[in-house]
Amino acid sequence: MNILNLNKRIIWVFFSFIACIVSLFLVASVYATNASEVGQDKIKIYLFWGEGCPHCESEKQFLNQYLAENPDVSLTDYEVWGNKANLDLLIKLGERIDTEIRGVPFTLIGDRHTSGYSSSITTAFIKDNVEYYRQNVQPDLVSEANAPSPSPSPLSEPLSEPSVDPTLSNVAADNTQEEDNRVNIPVFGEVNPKEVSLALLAIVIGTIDGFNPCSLWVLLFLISILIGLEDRKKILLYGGTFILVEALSYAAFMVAWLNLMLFVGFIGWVRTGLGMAALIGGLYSLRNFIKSGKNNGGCSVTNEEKREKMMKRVNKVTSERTLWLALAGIAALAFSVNLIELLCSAGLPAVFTQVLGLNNLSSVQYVGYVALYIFFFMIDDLIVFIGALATLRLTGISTKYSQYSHLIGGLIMAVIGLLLVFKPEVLWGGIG
Amino acid sequence: MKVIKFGAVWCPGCLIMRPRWQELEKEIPGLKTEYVEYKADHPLVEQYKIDDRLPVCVFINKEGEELLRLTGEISKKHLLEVINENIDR
Repeated sequence: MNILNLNKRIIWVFFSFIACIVSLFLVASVYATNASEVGQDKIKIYLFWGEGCPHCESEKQFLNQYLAENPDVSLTDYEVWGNKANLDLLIKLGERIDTEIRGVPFTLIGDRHTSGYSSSITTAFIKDNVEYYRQNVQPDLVSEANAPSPSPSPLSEPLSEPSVDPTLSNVAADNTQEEDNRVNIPVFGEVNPKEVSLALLAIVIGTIDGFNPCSLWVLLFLISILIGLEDRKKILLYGGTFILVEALSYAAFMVAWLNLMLFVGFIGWVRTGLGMAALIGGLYSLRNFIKSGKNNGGCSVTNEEKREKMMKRVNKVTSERTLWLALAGIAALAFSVNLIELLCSAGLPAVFTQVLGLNNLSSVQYVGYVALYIFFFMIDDLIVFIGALATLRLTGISTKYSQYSHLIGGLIMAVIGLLLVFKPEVLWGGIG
Repeated sequence: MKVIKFGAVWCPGCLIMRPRWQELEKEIPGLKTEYVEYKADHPLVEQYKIDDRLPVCVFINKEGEELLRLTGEISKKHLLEVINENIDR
């Protein structure tokens, strides 16, 4: 590979990287919020939050806007995951108001409190209690807790049930209703940019993740044997079973990853670790692209022994006379192939499920986005399968352009990795 | 000139090249080709050091010396040009 070609590739990677960063921040600017001014106004709202907690960020966004519209309200916030003194204060307050602190965000107005964040319930709580304390004296339990004074002020009668507790930061918010930031786009009508950008991410990453013709080889080998038999019924049954089991097992893997991300993805060091891994993986892919030079595609010569074993299994399954045994064999084949491929391509689905997990979605939405990802992940398999069914030939495949999947996939992973490490709020307010 | 084609049943690129070579062999009756199914310990694989990517086609002159090799998916047009340039060598 000559120097000019290498320089061209490096320049191409550089400008593609800049284009990705600019695009991401343009999308994020849809969610630009006005900074709030925390002043010394009359009604005090105390917010206890955690770094990386998506529900906390949602509440902070609401409060920023609320404070701008209500100049007689002030906000004091305490980060508790990285600050022990703040955490101790929160625990002390919990004892003072005789309530168990189960997570963040935790909002205190006077002696009334709520845990978690719901755009309907929490915002109503804040508005109602601010209004209440506009008419009544507001006790300042935080100042009392911070001061050495031994005599606490009496608790007022609650306006309503004190702990509504709609959501906590580490619980998927099935009952959370997000503010609808719809945008009117000509021809398409009103759309929610958040939904559009997550859907686009699912389509792009799913397509890139699935675009690896070399990983198609088992399906291609299976279909090439079936084409030789010139039996469309077998191609449909066997090929269809293979593709279906592959899709289901990959979906199961992604759901498992998503559940893990929902459980731990908001923890700062987990997110940072994943971000670093994504960044390193992305840079490695970009390096492979630059080094590949003028490449006409093809597949690398590795794992010969494993391939031979796999080919024997395929031959055995296709020659099985009993239909249900053959289908069971194909299903097992598809599952084991997927398992092997997962080890090679865990990066992109992990990154995608981390972004999903940072967003406050319903179960149906999570499943929908995973399904969308899987559909586009399987699209090259579907093209080959349908082509073989229609023409009894192997069509729709080429390894020539697979090197560009290293470029695009590498860029996506590197950019998302950087965001996870340095600006994660873009991913749960910006992209999604 | 002779062409040694290295490929494998598990290689999608090789599957793509197969029909192209079949057409060329039909159109150029004087073209001599040999197909080698890749195995790491095959003598020709070791001789021509096929250890990176498949498919590979190696063009050999009458004296048995390697003229050039092409790796990956090559268009039929380009293959035809290369064959026509070297077929008498």
